[in-house]
Amino acid sequence: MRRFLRRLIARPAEGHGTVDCVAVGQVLQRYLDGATDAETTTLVAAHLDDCLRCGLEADTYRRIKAALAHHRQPPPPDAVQRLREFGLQLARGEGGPRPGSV
Amino acid sequence: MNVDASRRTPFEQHVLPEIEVLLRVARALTRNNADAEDLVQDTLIRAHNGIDRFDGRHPRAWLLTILRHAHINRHRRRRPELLRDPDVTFDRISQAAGPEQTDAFVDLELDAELVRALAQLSPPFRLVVELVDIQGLSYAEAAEVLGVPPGTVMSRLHRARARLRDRLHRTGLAPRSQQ
Repeated sequence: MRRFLRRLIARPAEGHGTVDCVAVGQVLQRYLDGATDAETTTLVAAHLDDCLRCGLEADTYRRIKAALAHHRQPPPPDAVQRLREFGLQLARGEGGPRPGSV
Repeated sequence: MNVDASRRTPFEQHVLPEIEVLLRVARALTRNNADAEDLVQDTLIRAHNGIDRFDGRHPRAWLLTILRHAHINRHRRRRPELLRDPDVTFDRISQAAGPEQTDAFVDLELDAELVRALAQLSPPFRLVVELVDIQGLSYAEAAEVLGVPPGTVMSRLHRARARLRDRLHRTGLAPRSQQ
């Protein structure tokens, strides 16, 4: 990460040349996952605002992440309930039936 | 359930709130609702047996590690030949939650192409996408489930997404970012 920052800072706003784009590309997914530190986040955000190429790349990844997150489903409520009851029985020192053993 | 919080056991405090997450992850691992429920049950029993040794920090990570061990044991018992192939189905993705018709932000065509592209990823790559991007685990939590370092989760995830992106480029569903 430090090396990345040095590369960005060393070539500020030079028409978004390859060095900047390559460096951003190395951390782009971590940035989109919210896993970059504050300084890197600021630098990458500024670059994405200015660079069409990297901006498009970021948009594509955002669409992928949004589409995948859309498939997140809550587990079946009845299964959750059975397991909660089973857990409570364990906590109370009761043996309890096996949940879901139908 | 009017149990005073101060009277709840450590098991109730730390374990029971994580049941939903455990069940979602178990479904990703087992590809089957009934097996997932059994796996979480095993996990609860193991957690209960080990609660006295748990320091109270990071209960989800602790439980995900237990779940992984329970899954490996069950897998070894039932299908030893598949121990190294933790396949994850994405069949259900096409049926899942059917894209909400009201959700204007999800491009149905892109979604369908992503489902196809996911199905073509090798199992370790599909699984990490399932855990992080679909189930919403952090890198560290996915690492606990998979028994690999967070850096490995990151690299697998990034490579998997890059393949999905390439697929969208090839099918014209995402603009190529060429200069």
